Amino acid sequence: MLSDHLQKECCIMDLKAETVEDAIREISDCLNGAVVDRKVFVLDVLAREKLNSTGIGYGVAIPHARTNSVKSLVIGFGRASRGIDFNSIDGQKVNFVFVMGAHPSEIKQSLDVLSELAKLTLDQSFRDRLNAVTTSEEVIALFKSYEYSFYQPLLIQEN
Amino acid sequence: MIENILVAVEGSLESLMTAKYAICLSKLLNARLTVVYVVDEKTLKDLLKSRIFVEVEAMEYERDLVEQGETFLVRIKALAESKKVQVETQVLRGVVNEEITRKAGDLQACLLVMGEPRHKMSRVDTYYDEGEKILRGVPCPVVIAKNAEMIEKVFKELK
Repeated sequence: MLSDHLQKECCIMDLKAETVEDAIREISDCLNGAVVDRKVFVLDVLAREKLNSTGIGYGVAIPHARTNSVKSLVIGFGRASRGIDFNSIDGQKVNFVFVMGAHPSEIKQSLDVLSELAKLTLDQSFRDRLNAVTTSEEVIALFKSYEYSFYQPLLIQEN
Repeated sequence: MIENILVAVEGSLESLMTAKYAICLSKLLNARLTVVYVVDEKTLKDLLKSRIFVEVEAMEYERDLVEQGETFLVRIKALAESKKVQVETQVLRGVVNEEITRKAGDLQACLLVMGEPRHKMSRVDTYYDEGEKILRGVPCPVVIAKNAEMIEKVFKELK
């Protein structure tokens, strides 16, 4: 699950970066021990970004790479209140940057995480709340609340 | 009687347990065993469509998934042969639940063996979970293989 991979130490509530490269570098600097070689990791993510922007619209970008520079799947998050020009599909500046790294053997895991990130960030209410939270803990709690909340209506219906 | 058993695997350790349990059932029931691994083309296409993936990246993932599937099926075949169980293996491509449901129909499978659903599932996972869809769509009884320790014991004791 997504929130299993996102640590509060890897969430930056106010990115200083103003460019794509700096944003990826700033978030990567916060990634924990899962990254073996941070320099290579950043280069690999940037190499992927050069193929085509991962700015998927709605102010969201998901730069990523499968690379030997990480031991296991890791995600970092950064919020840029002023927005960063990611050359996004909709032309909007990016406010939410999710950097994902996975080991080359983590094929299915990385597909699952990217897929879930894409679906969650498509949700306007999720993005609004992500914009409103003030701490890293609240970011994690927000992910968890969206991940688990589906069970509530199911339980009510069954009773 | 139960003449043929279909088992769906996805390359994980849990999946290996599922296959082992299916091998045990096949041996005990003297049933034909077919093992399938489905390359999840839908997720790849969705990630491509949302611009998280570029074409070359999707192709790379697809190639790795096929390779992972083939390697995994070779491993399962060896396990089955070690218990003198005849097994057919196949890598399929497409929407996971649709391919497995179709295969069960084509084979007129008497039983589908599949892995345990994940303990923690997000609302997004629950909605999109392929396992849930297979359970609902497949035209035959389904056995969920769970408890790795018990399966390992049964498999070891199988003559």
